[in-house]
Amino acid sequence: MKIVAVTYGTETREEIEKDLERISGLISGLEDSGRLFGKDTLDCIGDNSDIVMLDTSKDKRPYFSRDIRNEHPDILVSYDLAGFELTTLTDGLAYNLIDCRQIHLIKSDKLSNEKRLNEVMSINMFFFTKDRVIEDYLKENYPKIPFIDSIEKE
Amino acid sequence: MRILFFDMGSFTYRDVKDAMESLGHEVHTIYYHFADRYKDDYFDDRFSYELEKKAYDLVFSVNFFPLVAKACKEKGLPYVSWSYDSPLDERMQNYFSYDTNHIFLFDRQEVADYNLKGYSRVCHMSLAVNVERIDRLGLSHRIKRDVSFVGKLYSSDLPTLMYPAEDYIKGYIDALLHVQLGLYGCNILESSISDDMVDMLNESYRKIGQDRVRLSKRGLAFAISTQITHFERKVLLDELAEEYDVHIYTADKAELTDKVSIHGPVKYYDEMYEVFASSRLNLCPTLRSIASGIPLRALDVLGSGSLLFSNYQPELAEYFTDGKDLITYESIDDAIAKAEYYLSHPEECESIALSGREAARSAFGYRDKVEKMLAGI
Repeated sequence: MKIVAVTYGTETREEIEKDLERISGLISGLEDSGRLFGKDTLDCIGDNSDIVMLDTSKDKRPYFSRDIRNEHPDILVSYDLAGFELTTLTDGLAYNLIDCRQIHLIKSDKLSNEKRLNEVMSINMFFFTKDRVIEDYLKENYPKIPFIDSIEKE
Repeated sequence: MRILFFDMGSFTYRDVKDAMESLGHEVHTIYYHFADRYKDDYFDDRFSYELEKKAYDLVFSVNFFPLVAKACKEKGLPYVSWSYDSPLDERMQNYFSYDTNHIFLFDRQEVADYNLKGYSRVCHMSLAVNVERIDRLGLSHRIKRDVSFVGKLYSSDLPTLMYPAEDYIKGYIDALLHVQLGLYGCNILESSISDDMVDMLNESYRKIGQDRVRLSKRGLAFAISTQITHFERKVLLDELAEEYDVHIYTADKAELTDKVSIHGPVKYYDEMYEVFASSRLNLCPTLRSIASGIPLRALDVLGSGSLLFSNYQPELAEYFTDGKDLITYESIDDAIAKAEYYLSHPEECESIALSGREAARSAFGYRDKVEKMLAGI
């Protein structure tokens, strides 16, 4: 299982592994989690995953999204919408062309790519926020988000 | 109606959706990119889940998706697809007969071929162009270059497919290619390839250990078509570049003379129209497997008020007048001669471009096409 993690260079591998473990537990508890997320993908988020880290703060090449695709990830992870600025020829999200399950973690309430959440998004995308405040804000302002939940639970 | 619009990043998604909403329909979108359009367990499950969340009256997509058709068949939901891809992959025919399908293709000849095979759910609908959206770009039409081409050069599998073939077959296919190269408005490829020839080719693959390669008549015809298209586009660009300022905008690796200016791909909703508007002639040789229809690119050029310079296509001739709304050619020599004439008569180019835009506006609006497609549901 290969996971490609796209960040702004602020997350460590250990942090990413910890976040994925929490999210895996969260997803497993969701109703219809198998149909929503794909059971085979759920089963594979674990210790044996190979994590490839890509830092968009360093790499500004226009074909960066092609590099992500060439890694053939089983799961794509992003932090704080890193990589959402990448576009297709129809100005859509380049991530839409990556055919694997995607976990987009949002920990900051200041997102430089926030407006990109107005674009059509693939049903492969799953957004997890740090807390309910961010979740509620995004739900209200960006109804096109296909799935969103917060890691923080009451 | 409440419509579920399935999309995989099509060029025309926005215009079709806008047309649906202008007709008063409620549109919800699902986006998904298939790695394999014929097998995707996750999609089957997830799409079915999404269809259960709300009551939809129909599912719509630009281009035909077999797994969407299958899901709609299982739910008894009408599935309308409008393709700008042509020709469709052969395997898709296995999904055509569902009684929930309403399949619209822009190439009348392709539709006729499917109807002859008994696929009655396939109908003709030409593509469209949103002239009003293009007008809002405020294009300047200040001419910066003589000739532009936006698109693919195509690399054909034909040389690889012919490699192990017997000399007789190589010679025959080569001759067939040259005959079709000189024929516009009529596609003779599939009807000129015998079953025996295809069997002999497949046997030649087995002899070199390529047991899994199984070529069909249609596959061979498509390989010949892409080879012709590649040749025609390359020759036209190279020849015109000897005398004129010629530019190509493509994602392909373009092997052209040094005189052709090669650029990367352009964004569909703005950069592309800027290229059209700033080019005296917009070269648009049709992919040769499209027998009669008007490709999307041609309508995009016309709708932008720029001069379309295309090969003859029967359906173009039905709606547009050569020399008045656009320029068409019927051979490579004809194309070169006409390019020379029109590049030295810029005032004629301008009036033809304007007339072409008005002809496109009147007959190829999205709202009208979408209304017709949904009328029967």
